[in-house]
Amino acid sequence: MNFFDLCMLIFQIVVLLIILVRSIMVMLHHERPVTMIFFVFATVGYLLSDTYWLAYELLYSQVRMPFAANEIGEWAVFLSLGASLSDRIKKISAPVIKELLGTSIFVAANVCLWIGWSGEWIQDIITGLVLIYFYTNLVRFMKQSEILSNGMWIGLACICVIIIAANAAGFFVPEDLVGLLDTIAYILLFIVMAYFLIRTVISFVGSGKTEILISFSYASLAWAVIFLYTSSKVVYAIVMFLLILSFFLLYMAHEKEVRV
Amino acid sequence: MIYAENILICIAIPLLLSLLFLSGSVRKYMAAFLLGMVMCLLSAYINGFLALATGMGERDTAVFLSPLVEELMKLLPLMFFMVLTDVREKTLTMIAIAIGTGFATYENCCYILTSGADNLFYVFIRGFAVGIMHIVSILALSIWFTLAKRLKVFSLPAVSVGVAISMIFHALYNLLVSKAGASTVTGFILPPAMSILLYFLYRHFGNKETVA
Repeated sequence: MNFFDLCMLIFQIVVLLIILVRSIMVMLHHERPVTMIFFVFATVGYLLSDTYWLAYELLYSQVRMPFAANEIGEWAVFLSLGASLSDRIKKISAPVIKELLGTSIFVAANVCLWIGWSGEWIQDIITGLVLIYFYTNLVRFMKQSEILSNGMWIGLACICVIIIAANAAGFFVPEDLVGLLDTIAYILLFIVMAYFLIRTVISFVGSGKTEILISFSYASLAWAVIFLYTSSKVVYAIVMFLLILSFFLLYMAHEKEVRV
Repeated sequence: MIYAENILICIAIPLLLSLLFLSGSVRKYMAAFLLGMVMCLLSAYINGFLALATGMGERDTAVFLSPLVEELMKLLPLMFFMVLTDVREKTLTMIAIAIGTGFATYENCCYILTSGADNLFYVFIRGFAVGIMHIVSILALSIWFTLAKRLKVFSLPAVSVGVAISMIFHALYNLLVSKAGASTVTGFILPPAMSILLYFLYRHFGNKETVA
């Protein structure tokens, strides 16, 4: 881990501590919906995961982790957020096959890429399973809140296909083309990330339905996670910042919901 | 090398015999305590297998994999009591404490036999930290399960969230105490500090029915 990544990790831990303390304060003084409890669990999981990573870097900086135990904390985050979304959509009786199939294909493709890059089979597969749960609930909730039109869903699906294709092609093409393919993938990832973040901020500032704000903030976070797992070097550090920004916006959305 | 099964038999026989003369909640406590010790032995078997199967070696397995195995093994009897028997909330909490205590006691016995007990201060600190670690992690889990049942969100993801958090917390403790120096001190402080925090949170949130 380079110096910039380390600084970003410490920054994340500080922000997460602030979010955790503020979330508990909000719960002390307001009504406590189940979704907020799950959000606190997600914050704890994320904080412990980052703390573990930081401790490892400080104690064994030159040795690769034999088993990345910090990923267990990440599983806790995705499960908590998925459970939180599940609580919001439990009244829907529509079939979930379409959403489940779509997210499964997308996540499975990503898992194949991660395994190709890291070689960590078991952990990547478990992360994939947990992400399928989270993303399926997210897509269902996004459809419930109608934040994207049909055309936008198709556009998003096309972008996902191009990103995966560009990353997968990186394994087969000559090395001088890999940089170009990475750039294409990064640009698309950045465009969607910027879209979700801007829409989250607009929803937060505006006086629209809280459900839309919650939906966009979850979408930002979910996209930031995929972006982080797909990036490397300088981009990785930048996306670490975007991820914590998304998490902070998610906290703001939850706080607004509780206060309303 | 120690003969872990022999140690378990030696400690468990008097406790097993005592079950014949006990009744009610004390009997349940003692049974769960014994179960905690058995789970600790089974965890050691699994850790040994994983050390060989993954080629990680004993030390790396103890630091990185054992938290996963141990938390999962402690969860099994708790889930058994919770799902298959209709225990009351207070009984479940008591069973969780007993499982954690049994687990920690047996682990400490094996640790003393392996590493010696000549340094009283270190043995005391170790016993204190490990005791709190195992009891608090499973107690927090049982409280979460009870709360999740009350809120009607008790499901596989909700259970997994609790277990994953207890695993990463345990893994962080193991990582910190794996290297001598300031990190070990931090590691030993971590479980008592967390238990104090949990106690205050539980006092505030656990006893109130104000969850929407």
